[in-house]
Amino acid sequence: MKYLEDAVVVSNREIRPGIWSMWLRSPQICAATLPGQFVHVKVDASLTPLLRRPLSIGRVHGDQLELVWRVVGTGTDMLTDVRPGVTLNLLGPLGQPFTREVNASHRVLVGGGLGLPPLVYLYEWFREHDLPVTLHLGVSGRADIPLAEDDPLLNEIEITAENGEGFRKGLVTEPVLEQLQALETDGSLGSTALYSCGPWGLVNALQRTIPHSQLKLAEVSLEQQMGCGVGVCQGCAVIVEGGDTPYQLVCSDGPVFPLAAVHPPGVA
Amino acid sequence: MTATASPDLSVILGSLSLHNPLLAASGCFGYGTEYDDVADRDNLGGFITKSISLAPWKGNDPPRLTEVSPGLLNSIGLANMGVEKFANEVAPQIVTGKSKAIVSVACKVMEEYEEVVALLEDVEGIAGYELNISCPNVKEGGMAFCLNPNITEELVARVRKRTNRWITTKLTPNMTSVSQGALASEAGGADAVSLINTLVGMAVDWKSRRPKLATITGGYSGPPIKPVALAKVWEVWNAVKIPIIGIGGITNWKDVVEFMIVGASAVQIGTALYADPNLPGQIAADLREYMRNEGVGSLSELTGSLKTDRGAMVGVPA
Repeated sequence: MKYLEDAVVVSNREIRPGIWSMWLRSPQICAATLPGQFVHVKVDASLTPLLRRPLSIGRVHGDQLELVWRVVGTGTDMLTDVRPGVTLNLLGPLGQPFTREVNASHRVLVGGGLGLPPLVYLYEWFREHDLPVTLHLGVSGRADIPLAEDDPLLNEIEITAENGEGFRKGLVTEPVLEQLQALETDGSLGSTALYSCGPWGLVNALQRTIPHSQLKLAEVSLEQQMGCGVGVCQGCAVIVEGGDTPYQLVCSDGPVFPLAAVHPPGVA
Repeated sequence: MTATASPDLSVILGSLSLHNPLLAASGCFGYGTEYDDVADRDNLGGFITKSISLAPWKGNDPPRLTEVSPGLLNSIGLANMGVEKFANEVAPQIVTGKSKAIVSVACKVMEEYEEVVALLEDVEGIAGYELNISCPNVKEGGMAFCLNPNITEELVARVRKRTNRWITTKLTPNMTSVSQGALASEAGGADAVSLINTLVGMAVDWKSRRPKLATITGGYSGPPIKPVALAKVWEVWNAVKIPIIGIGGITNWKDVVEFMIVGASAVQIGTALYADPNLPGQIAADLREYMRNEGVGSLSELTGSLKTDRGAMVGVPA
């Protein structure tokens, strides 16, 4: 069930330069949503921006949900001006969630930069269900971490930064590969589930470097410019193998797809 | 509630009666059921489905869509499930309720239009057809059917022989004289004309020097095209006798009234539905308020009521 809900903004703050976190009270959507889904946000009642903005649902605590975004244009910039107490109209929850693999022996979550928020939601879901889970995050440096400096999660997850800056220095695929190799050694690779979200560079690197065909499950959540968010306009097509056509819609067929099946735009 | 407290929004377009003049434009309301969770379909007088072709179409390469605020540029390319699946699986779900289901048809050759309509004749409850002869985003067919009035007339006449249902043609603004297409539609036996489809447009990333759509050019829609649409509707109002459905950039009740004043008997709401699928309900309520406040007894009295001192200034074919 999808809802059009006027959600009340509880807090809105800049957690890193240009990266914002907003909590909203949205009881209907919070009750219906699952990790991997998103909301389509009406940024302003005016005609600018014309379209809603799709944002992954980050943490869900009770009747409140978190949205995290980087300012990249008019719509995301306007969201930074929204004050607590104001309502934003949300359409959601939208899209297909991650497969919540409860029978896996291990769950490896891999986020790249702003790809982290939906994985935080998934991470907390697994933790609540007492299921073993590791969350990896890859960033350029500290300024790209989509968590506030006082966020307890900062000390729970495995962070790899290209610049180092006190974290493991390098690419996030390196510790992920090490963990998968260890799982292979103890014979549990085939019962491991991998979930990822991040820029195409990360998606391609995971496709190339990890033995995803040997895993129990390997999924990726994609983003794409969207019109309607519900499969009406067919604007958010991506190239995905295994469907009736070469294309699938990020908004309604996805955003979660099998890692091995997706192709970057323009590369068939 | 007294009768005057709830003005009647109904309009009549030839053989098609609508409980209000608000239709959802093709491509902006899916196959008809996608918004059911969040919007009451019956707030619409009717809706035009996504264009249906004979075989399924995969659509164009991504990226297919980019916002050129406050407008939208798209190159979807009429991706659709094809008539067989539509007729068997979808159509029976959309012909219930008081909102009229009108099926948009888009094909590559004339014979396919005839075949698709013939197949849809077996589905009870479809109120009519909108022949999409104006899509700027497909290589074959599409806009080419509209650019040549002789072809338009022949196509409409051929489809006319296949159905007694109501037919409208969707016309392009991307030609010198849209009234040529309207006159050809009328001559071929169309019950109405719908205009305008999107304007050919383009968006470029100045930094990468790449087009923002994979197809380079696309169709431009949204609020910025309203003045163009109003001018085209006014031109066609002065050319044909069949009803006109106005389309282009409608976001509120005043836009609807303006389209009717320049000649439309009904309107289609398009791009704005993406932002607010409940917009038709709001506009319908606002139109009732307008009728009460302005003492308008029937919306049909608006159609073509533009007050001019100098008559039509547009080129109307003799």
